[in-house]
Amino acid sequence: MLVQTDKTLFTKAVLQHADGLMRFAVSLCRNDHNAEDLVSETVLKAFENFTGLKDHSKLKSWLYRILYNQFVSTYRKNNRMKQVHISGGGDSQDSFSLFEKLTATGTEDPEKDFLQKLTAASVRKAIEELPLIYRQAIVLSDMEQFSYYEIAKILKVPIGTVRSRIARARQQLEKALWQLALDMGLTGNKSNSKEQHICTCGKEETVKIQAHEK
Amino acid sequence: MKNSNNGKGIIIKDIDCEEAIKRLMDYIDDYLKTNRKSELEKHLASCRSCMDRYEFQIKIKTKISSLANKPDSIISNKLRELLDSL
Repeated sequence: MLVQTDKTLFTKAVLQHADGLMRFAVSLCRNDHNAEDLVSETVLKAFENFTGLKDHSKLKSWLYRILYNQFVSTYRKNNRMKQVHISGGGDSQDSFSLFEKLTATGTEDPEKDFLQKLTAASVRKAIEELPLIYRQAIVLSDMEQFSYYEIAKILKVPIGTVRSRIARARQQLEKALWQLALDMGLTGNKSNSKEQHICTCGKEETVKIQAHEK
Repeated sequence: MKNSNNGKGIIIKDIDCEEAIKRLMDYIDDYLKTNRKSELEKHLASCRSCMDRYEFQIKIKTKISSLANKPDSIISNKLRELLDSL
């Protein structure tokens, strides 16, 4: 049973991280209603175990870990994760680079142009469409600012797995953003131009080669 | 260019663009060991193209992290009621 000071401390801690917990829950459930339930279940579970938490500097990752455990136990039971696991792991790690795609278009400062036109809503949508294992990795890393080590603890996977999931998440995200760039018509008219990156560091680094039009 | 010494006895090797690109995201995520980080930083200081790529990746990451910066809290009434009831 928590004493009043602990209750106050607990409430303060939860309120401090509630937005982040809700974002993480939404990214897992893809549904606001289920996400709210998941956060509530997390808070109750955390409240029951709060006295057992010795190191309060780890409180944030502790809350996220409880949330993830709750998600796995509750939602997996209901088969809501089945399709996610099937679609999540099979993608090969090829070397797609949005930066290279953009700079190869031959237009003036294409990457700056793209970044200017890239809206928060587009980025959010691209993240939402990632398979779960990549979505949760990128959300914990780039939105919630956890280190690889902390993410490994939250998701209970080796740190190397976290690193590769984040890398794959970024690859897929960049592919989605490239599609967005194509839809925006940001790729210019020089579709058969290509860029050759020449490693002459400190000199002329990049040569754009126009393919001969026949 | 030759390998250099950082004054603490650690040799900072030259790396090429391919190696620099491989290390870039680990660097951005602060997951590179000191010497590998120094090698990358040395490369970035002399390679405009890799520096451009680095800046682009930073901006993409910033776009993602800014999704978390909402002026209004998204805490639900349900959660507030739950906290009050504890």
